[in-house]
Amino acid sequence: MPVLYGLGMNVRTLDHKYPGQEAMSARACRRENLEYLRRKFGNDDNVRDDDDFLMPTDDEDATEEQILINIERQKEIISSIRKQPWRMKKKIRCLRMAQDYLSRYEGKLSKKRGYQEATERIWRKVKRELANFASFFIPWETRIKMIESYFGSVVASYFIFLRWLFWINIVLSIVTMSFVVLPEMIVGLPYGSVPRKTVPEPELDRAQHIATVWDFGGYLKHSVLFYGYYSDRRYLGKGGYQLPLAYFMVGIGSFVYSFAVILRKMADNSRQSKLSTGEDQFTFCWKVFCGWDSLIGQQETADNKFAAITTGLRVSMVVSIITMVFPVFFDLIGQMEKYHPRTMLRIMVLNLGNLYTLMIALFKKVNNLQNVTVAEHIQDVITDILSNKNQTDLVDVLTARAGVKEQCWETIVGQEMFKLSVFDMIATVVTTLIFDFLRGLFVRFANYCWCWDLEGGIPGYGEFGVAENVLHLIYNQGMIWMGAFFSPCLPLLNVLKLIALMYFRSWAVIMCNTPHQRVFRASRSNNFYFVLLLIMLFLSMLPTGYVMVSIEPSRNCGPFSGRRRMFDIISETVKNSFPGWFTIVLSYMSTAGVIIPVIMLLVMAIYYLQSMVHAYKEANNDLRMQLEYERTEGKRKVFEMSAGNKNNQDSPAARAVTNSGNPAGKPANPGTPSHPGPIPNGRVPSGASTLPPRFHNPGPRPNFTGIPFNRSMSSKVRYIPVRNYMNPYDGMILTPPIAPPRFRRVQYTPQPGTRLMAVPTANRAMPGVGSIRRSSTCSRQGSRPTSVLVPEGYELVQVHVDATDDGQSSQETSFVDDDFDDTRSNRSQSASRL
Amino acid sequence: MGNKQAAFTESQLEQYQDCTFFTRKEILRIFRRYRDLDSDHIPKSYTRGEASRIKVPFEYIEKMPELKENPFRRRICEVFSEDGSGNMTFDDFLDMFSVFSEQAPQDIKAVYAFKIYGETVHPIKVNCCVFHQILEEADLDDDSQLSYMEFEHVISRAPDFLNTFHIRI
Repeated sequence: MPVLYGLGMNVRTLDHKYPGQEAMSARACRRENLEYLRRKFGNDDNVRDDDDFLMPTDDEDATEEQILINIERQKEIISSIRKQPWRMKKKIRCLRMAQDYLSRYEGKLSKKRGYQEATERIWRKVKRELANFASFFIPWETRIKMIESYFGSVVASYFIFLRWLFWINIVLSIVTMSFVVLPEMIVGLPYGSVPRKTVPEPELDRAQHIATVWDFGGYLKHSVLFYGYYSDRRYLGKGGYQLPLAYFMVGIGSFVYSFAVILRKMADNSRQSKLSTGEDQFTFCWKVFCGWDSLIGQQETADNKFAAITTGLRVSMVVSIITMVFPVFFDLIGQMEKYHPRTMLRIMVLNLGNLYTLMIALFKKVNNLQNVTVAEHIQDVITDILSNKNQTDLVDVLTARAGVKEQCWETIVGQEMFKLSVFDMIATVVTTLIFDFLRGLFVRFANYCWCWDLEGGIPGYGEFGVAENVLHLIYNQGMIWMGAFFSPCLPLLNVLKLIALMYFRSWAVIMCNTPHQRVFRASRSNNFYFVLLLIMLFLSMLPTGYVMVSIEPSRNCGPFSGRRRMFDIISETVKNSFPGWFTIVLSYMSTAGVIIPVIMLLVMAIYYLQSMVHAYKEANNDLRMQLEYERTEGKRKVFEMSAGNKNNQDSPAARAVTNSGNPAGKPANPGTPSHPGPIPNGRVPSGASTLPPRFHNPGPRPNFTGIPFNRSMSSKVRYIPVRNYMNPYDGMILTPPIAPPRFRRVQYTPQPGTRLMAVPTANRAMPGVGSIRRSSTCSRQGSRPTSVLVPEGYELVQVHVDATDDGQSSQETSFVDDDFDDTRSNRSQSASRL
Repeated sequence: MGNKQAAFTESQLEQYQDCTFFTRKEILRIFRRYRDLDSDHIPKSYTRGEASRIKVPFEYIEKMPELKENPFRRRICEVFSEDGSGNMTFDDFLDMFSVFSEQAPQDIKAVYAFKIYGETVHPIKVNCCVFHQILEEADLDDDSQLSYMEFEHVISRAPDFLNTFHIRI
């Protein structure tokens, strides 16, 4: 197989070039492989017909080293084949070849290698099977797809977000169930065995009333639902399961897991969006190329989208016209087009304030409760002491009172959270039913007998408010995070709630809502909602953290009863279960002598990373301005040179060189009415002798130290074909500015029906980057010999253009230096690409 | 799993999984959708290389709910079909949805977007004002044409691109 021999050849050449090839990084190897792929199979996606590629050869004399390298390369090829823009046939063929090579040569390696390869193969297969298996578990795919087709990707993003939150809650509830709830239910003391687990006597007769159940009191209060039920015994059951420790760790672990998951999602999102600084450089292009939402599948939505795109385009065009005339208004309109998250932040703050008010009220109540309980307790104790002199009886009476009288404030907090969650669900259902469903019914049926058009005007059908609904989800999740420590079953309740919400909302949206009139994009706010979620998580963590650290747990209920603070469980565990030196080390680590340097280190690291980000942003900015500079000023300079040479022919090169690195300097030739002066964009109307005054003073120029280039000053001139100079930057886009090449003057006689081209002399068939061509059409009347400046390394070519021209022509004449060289003319070649 | 897997051999499914961004379940689902387009002419089993021979005419493909509202559907099908006519084999069909799927990375989408839109953004086919606006923003070397590099430069910075260049099937 020539390909494989080529493989071997490549490897040998590489060995020759880079003696330490094994030391090449993985990324470099990957690049090599892709380059190899492109070279062998080309960029075109059509399959080549010659089957020589498929003939096998043997690579017997290749050493094991080289075979290994080849095998690595084949594996790399296989893993990256789906990213190649080829047809399926070609991909399958390439894949088959790589797999054949692998199957043939892997067996020839040493035994150890062979086993390694076998295990890797099995592992890959297992991974694939797992992925296939996991794809069974993605729920609601059809439902989301239907909503997408009706309403576009913005509304669907709400449901996708809901589904993601659903997964988080499932994980949280599985962890809580398996480590806290189930052990307690299975191994812990059953209901009724201990006073803390029993409904107290006075409440027993009310325990089954609706009011109590609604309040989550009675039997529900003394169940696994709430904190108070869990036992504080150090070791549970026969196996010695440490429930308090598990409870504490699960509480902290939930927060850590939520943080990790949100941060990972945010990182994925930012990676995809390439950290564009948000500047509206290419608004028009984006509207044209990315305006159409391919997920839309309904007529009405499509029409709305069309209208929106057209309006958007029209607005952009009007904007650009206004830009040319009134630079001042540009900024104002640009501001309006940007997405303003301020309103969302207001709603968010309101919701947060809501939750925090609740927490503060709860804490106040808890404090009161504790005080009241203590006061009552003391009163009762004193009465008992006074009335009952017997010691043992006193102790019993006191313990009885202790068990009955003191309330469990954590359970109360848990109950409140539960209630809040349930009521929130009910409220959502009711409001949606009233404001969307009933409204829809009313509009639909009352429209027949109403004076004005209810459907088109007021009140019309409801629109699905994505922002409000997403914020509602975030608020809901914050509630769960706040309450999860006090009520371990809360994530499970939330799972059920989210399922119900998904079905209800999707029904409501399809039944009662219409697609948005204004179709707006959500992608800018992709990370915005996750940032809000992160803030919510952080703020929800604070109350729990405070409780763990500063408040004394109830003495008579819950896993931490009897301890001074909740986190004492950690120090207890460390003391009991870990070796002595560990305790000493830990106690050292928690002293100020260790903590303060650690904090300082973290602060310094943050500062350093921040300054790196700043530096990268500036570098990005510089590159962008360089690009703009290339686009406008660079052309202008080149044109100046050629224009300025109408007068003095002696030193075009010198002027070119002096002007190259001097951005702040004024051009050497300011321009007089008879000669064109500095022209932005390098364009000049053919034959024009005077220019509009603004072209003489182009305004502030960019330099590379960061002074912003005032974009409104760059003049947007209509493109007019240029006759008098050849662009030396052909085929060299996106490269750093080079010193402008030297020019030489070439005389030629323009003839009608011909086209002028500058062709690089060194390589006629230079592979161009895409479709770049520099040419100009000669006007009809010019037939006087004129001259043109041609850059070094290029030769001037006049191409006869056919009637059916699309750039190809059949004849070429070439001009060399100042002569019209007869011997070289009339060379007939097909026109080469530049 | 009985009937469903008779459509493809195991090795075919493995190959498809290596060459596209789909899982086995998705590939079989897409095959079902493909068969529904023109069930008379497409056999139940594709184990003998029919995947690259049998073509479904464009008129059936454009009626799919995923494509029927898309104004670029003809151009999309032309780009992905082998002969450029819009009639697609199952290989082309799968390829198309693989590129439009969520897992496809941005560069491969940009390549195909250039092929699709490149034909569309032609001065004759598009309003001349729109065309000039596009050139003004994106044309870096002033040749009144948009090359792949320029297009990719613009597209890779668009925050919307991945969301809008996405079809769910």
